[in-house]
Amino acid sequence: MNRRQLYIMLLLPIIYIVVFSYVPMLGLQIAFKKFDGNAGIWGSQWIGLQNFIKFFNSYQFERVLKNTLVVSVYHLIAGFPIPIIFALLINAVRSKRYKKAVQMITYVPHFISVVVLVGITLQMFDSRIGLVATIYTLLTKQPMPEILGNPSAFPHLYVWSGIWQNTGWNSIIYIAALAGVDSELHEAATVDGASRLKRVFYIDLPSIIPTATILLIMNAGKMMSVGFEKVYLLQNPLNLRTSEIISTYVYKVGLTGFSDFSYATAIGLFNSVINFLLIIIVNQISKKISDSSLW
Amino acid sequence: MLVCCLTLCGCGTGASNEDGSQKNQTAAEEKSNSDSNADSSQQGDYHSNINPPGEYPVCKEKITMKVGIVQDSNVEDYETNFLTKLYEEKTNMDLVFDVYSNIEAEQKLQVMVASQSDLPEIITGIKLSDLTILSFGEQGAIIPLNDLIDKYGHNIKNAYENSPQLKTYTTMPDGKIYSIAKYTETIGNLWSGRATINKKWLDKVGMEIPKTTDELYEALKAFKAQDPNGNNKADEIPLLGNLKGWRQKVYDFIFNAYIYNDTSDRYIVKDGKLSFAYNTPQWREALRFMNKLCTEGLLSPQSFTINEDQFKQIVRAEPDLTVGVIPAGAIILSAGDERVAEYEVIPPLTGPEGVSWATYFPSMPENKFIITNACKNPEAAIRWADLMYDPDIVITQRWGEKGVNWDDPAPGDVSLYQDTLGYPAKIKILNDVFGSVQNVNWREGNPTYRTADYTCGQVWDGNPIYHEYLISKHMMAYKDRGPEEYVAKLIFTNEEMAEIRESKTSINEYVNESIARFITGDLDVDKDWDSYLAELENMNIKRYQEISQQAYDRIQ
Amino acid sequence: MFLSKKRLGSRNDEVFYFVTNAILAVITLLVLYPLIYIVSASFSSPNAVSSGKVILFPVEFSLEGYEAVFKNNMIVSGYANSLFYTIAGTVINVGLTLIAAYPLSRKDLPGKNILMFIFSFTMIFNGGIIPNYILIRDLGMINTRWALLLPGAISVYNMIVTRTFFQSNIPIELYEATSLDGGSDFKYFTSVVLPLSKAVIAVISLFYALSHWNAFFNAFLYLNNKSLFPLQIVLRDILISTSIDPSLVLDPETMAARQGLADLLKYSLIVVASAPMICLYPFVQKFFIKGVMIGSIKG
Repeated sequence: MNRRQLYIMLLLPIIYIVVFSYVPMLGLQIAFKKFDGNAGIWGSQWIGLQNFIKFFNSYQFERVLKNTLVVSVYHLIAGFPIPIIFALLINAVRSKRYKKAVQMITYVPHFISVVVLVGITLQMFDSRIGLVATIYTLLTKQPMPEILGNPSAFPHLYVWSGIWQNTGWNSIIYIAALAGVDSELHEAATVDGASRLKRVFYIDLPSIIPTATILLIMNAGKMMSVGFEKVYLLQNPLNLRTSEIISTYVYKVGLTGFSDFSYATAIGLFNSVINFLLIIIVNQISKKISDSSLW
Repeated sequence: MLVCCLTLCGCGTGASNEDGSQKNQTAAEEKSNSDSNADSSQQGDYHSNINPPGEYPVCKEKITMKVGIVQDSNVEDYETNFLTKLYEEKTNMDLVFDVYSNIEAEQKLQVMVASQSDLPEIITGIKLSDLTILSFGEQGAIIPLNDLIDKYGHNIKNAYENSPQLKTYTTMPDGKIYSIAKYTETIGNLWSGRATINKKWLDKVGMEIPKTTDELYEALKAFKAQDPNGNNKADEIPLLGNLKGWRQKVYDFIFNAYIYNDTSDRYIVKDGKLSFAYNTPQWREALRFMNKLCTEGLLSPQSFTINEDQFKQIVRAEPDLTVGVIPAGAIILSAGDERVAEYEVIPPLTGPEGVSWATYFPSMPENKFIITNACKNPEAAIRWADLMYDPDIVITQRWGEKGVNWDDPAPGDVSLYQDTLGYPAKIKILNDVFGSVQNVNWREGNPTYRTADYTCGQVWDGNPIYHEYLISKHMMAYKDRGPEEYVAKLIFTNEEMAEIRESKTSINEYVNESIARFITGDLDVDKDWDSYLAELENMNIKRYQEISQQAYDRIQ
Repeated sequence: MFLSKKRLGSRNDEVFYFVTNAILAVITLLVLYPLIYIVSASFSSPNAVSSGKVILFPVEFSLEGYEAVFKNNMIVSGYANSLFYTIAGTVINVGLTLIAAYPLSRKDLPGKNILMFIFSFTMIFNGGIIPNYILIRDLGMINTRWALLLPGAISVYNMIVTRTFFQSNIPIELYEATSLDGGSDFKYFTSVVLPLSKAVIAVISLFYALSHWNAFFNAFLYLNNKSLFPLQIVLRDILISTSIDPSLVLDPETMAARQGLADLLKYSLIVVASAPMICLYPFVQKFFIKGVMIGSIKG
């Protein structure tokens, strides 16, 4: 058989990825250098791990690392299964029109910009005029305690506003996978008397597990890249203890006013390395447990 | 001899020969220093294509100037702009534009310089930070302007003379001026850390405008208890602010009754020695007072979470007003809302130890115009910048075309600041297009030198609730109540900044965070104060203070 | 017996269906409210928006916001540019992604794991702004449309999604059947794999299209010409410049009017800028169904 043709197909993508990803990647060396524009990337002075040491020793290191982990782990745990459940529910709806309508509506928030999303969140949870406060007061006859300024509420706000925005969208891929399920399987199971609920567990769910595993690995790899813009906009001095994460910190220390490209690159690289380790670990686990893996 | 030097300086500055150009600059500098007494108006000294300072057009033969400009979304088109045409006519230059998006524009310029990419000849339309200017200067990407200004400056020199701080704060720690600044004086802004109180409510509860912190406390308490808006609902918020709006923080004006609070880095200066306000016992007492307000429901904790839009919504509530004391630099009620007359200014409060300051916000120049090493005609460029400081063109740069957007005042017209500071009427606004999409100027994205007589000399139409007129009244209570010694601005070198950047950022964040937490009671003024101080020590406040002192001494 | 079993099943199923529908209804309402709010706000008067009167339906109905949007030349040209970048970019993306994903989906490709690793690695590590800028400059793409089309043309994430689809939805028996007939890999890919993959092509097209539509970072970094700016740049320009520095504007009345319009413009802009992508979706959804029907042929 002729594998040559497969390699020919891969040629263009590989050239592409080398030029546009690996060539610039050589620039990561400035994390270990004192970057000087006139000397360029290659000519700048080598300072070894100085930038990293500076970060590890910095006053904020522990706090931002912890906050980043809390938000990202929570985001992964809550944000991963919900689109799957949602897709299974949608798939089980009989009325095509209802199905379509639900899908149509729930994917729309994905198109809303982060600025607006945060705006809506702040409006909803405002302790005086917000919708949530109004309902809370109606039910309990008590004024609602402060939510936006409460440090322990921040991770919830971040994660659940994300779920609100992306559940519909993230379920698209599962819905597509579910649609690929051979309808004969369902017919056969129905003939055998399986209820719809049973069929969800024994036919639908297994059919999306490969997709889900891959997405889980990839989400784990992106875990530390918590959305900068949204966190930044949700921050206020009262919740800073839980809302200062690596990227907002880099922004404040490294990029406001004068850009220290080396320091910013070093912190970014540190973040990437953690992501990399995570993705490798999850990939190994997944290889052992199931058949799906990235490589 | 000098001509030769400057010509060299002008032509020899390509991206390719940094070293050469730097040598030339040094040579030019030495030369001009030794010749500093020479009469710079001698005809023969100027570049052969440039007319002497003050004479127009700038260039004898038409030249092209490539300008990198940051897009202002309210300027329709820089190519066809009325002001652009005026510049081109006055300078005999053809202006060609590279237009940059205004998102993160400074970062983009940093990337262009760091990657040694081709730069335009001039960069303008953006306020560049001092650190950026300094680092561009150190990398040789932009050229120092001291000698060019000496030789070709006319309006710029006058401005430096009339407003020394303009020169002081555009001179970098290396003694060089790299940028021509935008400098505007608006008297109302100099003393903008104001608060207003509802006088009608005060009358209702039988009190006077508070002069001390204690009186403020009593007034707020009465507001809370006695339903001053008379709608039989306990919907009054005695004191509300927000963190995002301009001078709308709920605490800044109160701190000034305990210790001077410059509201940003919070330096205090005594006999030339710098220290900070936020690690003093006075600061702690101020926090204690505000914590009391908060605990008794007089200061709304929402002040730390709402944004400016929400704040405005609450202040503008219909039908009944709900906010008693409003801290703000501008007027928050909508224009034309007659209820604005209910609010009167609270003069700087006096604290228990007799302290009573108003924050002084001096006019600061903004770096708006730099000449890069790619510039082929720096002499023409500086003369163009000099034109931007011309008293006539200053009006066009802000208001637009005479006869269309503004006109000379008619006899008998009075100015906004006539009865407060006695400024005569100078300009009558016909159609201010500053806030909408227009094509008459660059919305002051360029350097300008607009002194108080323009802004304060605007014709007043006699409307007693016109906001700017109200501000001119309110301002008087605060004017000249600041300290003798203060820090207007510190310009750090890149080395200094590299050392203290983290301390400075972390400390300011931590202080602001702690203010909120102490006031809302999340931190206890008694129990947590020592650990607060220890935390500041941890962040190396000592070194930060030393380096600040160093930078302060440099400009004295 | 067969019949009664089925009936029993369907009675349980009715409960199941009812619960499912109810849950979905609640979720949908939760999602729907803020969306209605934005649309209603965009059709209200500036005054009603800034004073917070809008709750559910438009208050003091007006089209002022939309008029302002369409009067702005930059928005119109930005719109056209964005459409171009989105369409051209998506075509390039999808093409590259498919030819990368297919070979990597084949279990019999030697070196597959190494290649896969090479691709995945770039998901996590990237060079940062300056090296990328230098690359684009050296390729001569600064201030050209290519700068928005080529960088990031393969999203490894989408490539993996596609590969997974190929692996699980294209029956291996099909390949064995065609190879026995003497078909080449090219021919098999174009005549068998692609027609069976409409669903995944539709999905990744939508992903790519959305990322092009919302992209702004490369545009601000690489473009110096207003006539090339995409909509997102214009959008952010406008949204950012609405946070007016009061020290700039002396006339508070202009400022108030401007602020009100800005608030309103925000909502109209959001609606206008989001509309094309939202409209695209139902169109793509059709392909989902088609792709599924073809996908269910038995091997």
